[in-house]
Amino acid sequence: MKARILYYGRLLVSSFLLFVAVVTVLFFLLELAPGDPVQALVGDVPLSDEFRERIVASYGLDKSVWERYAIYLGNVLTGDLGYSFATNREPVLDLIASRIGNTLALAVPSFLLSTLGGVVLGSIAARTRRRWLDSGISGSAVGLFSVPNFWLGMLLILVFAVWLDWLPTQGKSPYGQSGISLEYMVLPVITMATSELAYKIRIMRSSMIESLGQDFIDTARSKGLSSSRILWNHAMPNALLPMVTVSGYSLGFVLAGSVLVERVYGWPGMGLLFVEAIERKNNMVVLGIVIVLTFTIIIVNIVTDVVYGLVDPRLRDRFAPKKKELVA
Amino acid sequence: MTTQPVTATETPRPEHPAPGAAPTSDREPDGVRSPWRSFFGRPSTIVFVVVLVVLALAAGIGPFFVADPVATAYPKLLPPGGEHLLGTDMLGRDYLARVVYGGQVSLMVGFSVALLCLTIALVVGGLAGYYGGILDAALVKVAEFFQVLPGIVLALVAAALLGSNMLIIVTILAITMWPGVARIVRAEAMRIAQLGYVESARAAGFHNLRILWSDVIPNAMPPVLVATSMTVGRAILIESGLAYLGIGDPGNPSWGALLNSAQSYIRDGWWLALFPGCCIFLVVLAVNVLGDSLNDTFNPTLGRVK
Amino acid sequence: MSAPGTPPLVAVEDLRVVLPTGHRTEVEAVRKVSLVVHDGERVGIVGESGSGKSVTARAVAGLLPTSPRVRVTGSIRFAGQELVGAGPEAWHTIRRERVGMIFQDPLTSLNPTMRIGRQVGESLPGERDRRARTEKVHEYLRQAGLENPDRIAAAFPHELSGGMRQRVLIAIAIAKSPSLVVADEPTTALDATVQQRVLRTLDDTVSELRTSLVLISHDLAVVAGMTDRIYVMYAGHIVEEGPTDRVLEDPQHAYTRALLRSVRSLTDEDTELYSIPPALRRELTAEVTGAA
Repeated sequence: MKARILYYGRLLVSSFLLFVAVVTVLFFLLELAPGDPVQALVGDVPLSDEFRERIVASYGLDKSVWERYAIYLGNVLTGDLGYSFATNREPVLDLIASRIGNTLALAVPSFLLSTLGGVVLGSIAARTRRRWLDSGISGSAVGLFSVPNFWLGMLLILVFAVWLDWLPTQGKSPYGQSGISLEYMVLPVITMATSELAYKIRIMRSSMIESLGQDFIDTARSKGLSSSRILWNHAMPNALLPMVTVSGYSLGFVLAGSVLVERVYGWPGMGLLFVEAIERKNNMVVLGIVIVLTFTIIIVNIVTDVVYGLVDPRLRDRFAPKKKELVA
Repeated sequence: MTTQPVTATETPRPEHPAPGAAPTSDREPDGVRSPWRSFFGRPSTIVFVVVLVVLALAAGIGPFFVADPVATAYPKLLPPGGEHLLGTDMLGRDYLARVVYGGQVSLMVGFSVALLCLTIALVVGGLAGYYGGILDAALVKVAEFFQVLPGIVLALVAAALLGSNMLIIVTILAITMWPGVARIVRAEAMRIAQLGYVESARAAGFHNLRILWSDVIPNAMPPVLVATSMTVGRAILIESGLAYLGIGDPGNPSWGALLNSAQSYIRDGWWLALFPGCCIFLVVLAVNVLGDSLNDTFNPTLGRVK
Repeated sequence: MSAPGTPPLVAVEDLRVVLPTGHRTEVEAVRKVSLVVHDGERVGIVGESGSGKSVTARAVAGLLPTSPRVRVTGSIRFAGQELVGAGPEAWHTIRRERVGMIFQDPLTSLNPTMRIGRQVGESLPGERDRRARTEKVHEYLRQAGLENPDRIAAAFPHELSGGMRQRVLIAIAIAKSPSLVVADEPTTALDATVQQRVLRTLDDTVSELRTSLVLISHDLAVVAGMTDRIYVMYAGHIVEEGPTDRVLEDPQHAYTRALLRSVRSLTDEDTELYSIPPALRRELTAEVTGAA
């Protein structure tokens, strides 16, 4: 029990420090920004003198760098990410909250699809005797891995919207309707899932090949088990272990990729908000989104670590006091 | 089971009677044959080396042969074919010229980022892996940092805050991508530092830095080169993404920037979206395939017989 | 020993095994090997690493790598049934019911994600009732010398010591009541003290079940105490065979003599360490390749 608390305590502390490090880097990037600091903070909006003074006061822009850093860090840690000055001084956190659901509506299905597809196709490629099938799957994976996903999105638009006229391409629902319509989701989800799929096929294939080459597979063969049973009961659980970590840790890249995909399809998620904020130099929003993104990724990494500890029996009781080994 | 005659397929060496399966045999084929020869012996290697060379040549000397990329002298949105091999764009500029000049930017970014990453990674990763200690712990933390903050996001923020030109983008990409390569240098350096010949070099009184430079780094190269070659592809992909989002040097549009302007004309000029994307795809694919075969030839795991 | 007229349990004739070593290279690991194992007999195969003894054993147990580039020719007959060229179904049956295999490295030969009880239970053919199954698993674990079988069955491999894991592998091998147990260097990966006890367990179980045993080892001392007959292998060939006592006391072949000398030099303190001289190695090589 004590070991468990110690382990998770250290994990939490190091995650917290990582978060602080990211916020620190962002703060100093903001400091490095050339030009008027108030304008850098507020973005490309006209300012009255009175408003300017209020900003200077509330962000302590007249104070020293270190004091301002302390104020900023304090604000972030208490959940205050500032205001978007481009809109009606909407809190950045509210702005993000209104968009994050749309991003997850793409990210979650594409995560599930790509994981499932990666496991199935990667296993087939690893196990098949037919060389062409393995080369086909592995080759497609390298191919998909090399396609810029926003360009893939453009091609899909060209084919399915422009030429075939089957699917809509911009936004999340027909004009004037709220909510998300399924037909609007199809192309963005495919686009987002593809590059993840390619990555996961590669990981799963090599992990499965490794697993099938282990000595315990020979033991299973020596029991006269059928090859499908060897695959499902012996090779698969061991091959899936690395997939847990890889899927969890790849989340950052998935979310980063969503910026491009949302832009291609005009999907009003966090990524599009991010791009719009960058274009308008709405820096409070830019930093706010990165902070929320970092926070999410760190949390998912912690969860991944915990889940991995639960699924791998060698780690499941890493906290148990060392059992006295019986001697044979 | 086949009943073919059972013979080893490599050429016989008459001086040495084949010692059969004894492990001391000099029949270890991959050790005798140069890995480079087996690397270039693959058909896929040849194909993609050619692809890479053609695209690099097009970007390098192409500008001497194509039209002026900024002259708006031609009809707008002319489809490919005839006088304009890749058609013209929305302002009536020759698209082949635009794609060729765009390639210069994309390839430059890709290769300079990889070179920078390799340099930083060799220094930091080598020292961290060989000496361990604080430097090592710091490297692990920095790598963790960039795992949490994806390169493209940091690059977007930095470009938004600091402005965007080629130098800034190359620097930022290198800063975010070097830890990936450094981790591999570190792991290799750690492994090699414990090998016999390093121990004996140390016992012979050679200076540590000299051992690092002449024994450790050269032996760490194969997997490091694989990682570096993958970095070229990823840097080109990330740069194209940044440019697609409008972050880049407006005076020198890369392939990604061409795609950015192509998006609005996708209904009227499909070729504007198709060609730059194809180029990105081909370069990245070539780099990834070559990296894969490098990996297969230098870090072989296949063909092990227990 | 089998009655005259009935075929021996295992009869291998002119066995050749070719294994791939690289993308386009291969090696003939076993060349023209013939051997016989009778019912209830214990047979040892000795030789240095790379001599082909493990590959021979794996061929008999049907556990060669599954790559289509592995080529087997000659004849392996199990109780008269020809298995070279037989379909996977025939091999499945042999592995499920007739041959138990004990592997070299107990640390990697058990599935790290599966509980011991289930891994042993998989080796019980046709037992459907769950309680009877658990009962049997416990029984075999106990027979393999493991006390507290219920605790062991609930454990994962990493919770057991190397010796205990090797006992689990013994339990897996005997759980199907096989006619033949093939043990490939069963104690090489274990501590010297544990080795002796695991060997004794193997000895006892095999005697109790009256199964035949093929014991592969590079260690003549291990084979000497446990087998009736031995085969000496070098470079994929059998260079000498005979009753264990006779071969050890009066070796006929130069290689066997050299092998014996190198073992004795390890145990007798006053002689210097003996290794097979290069001249003999050249001679042996010429002999076996000439014979091939």
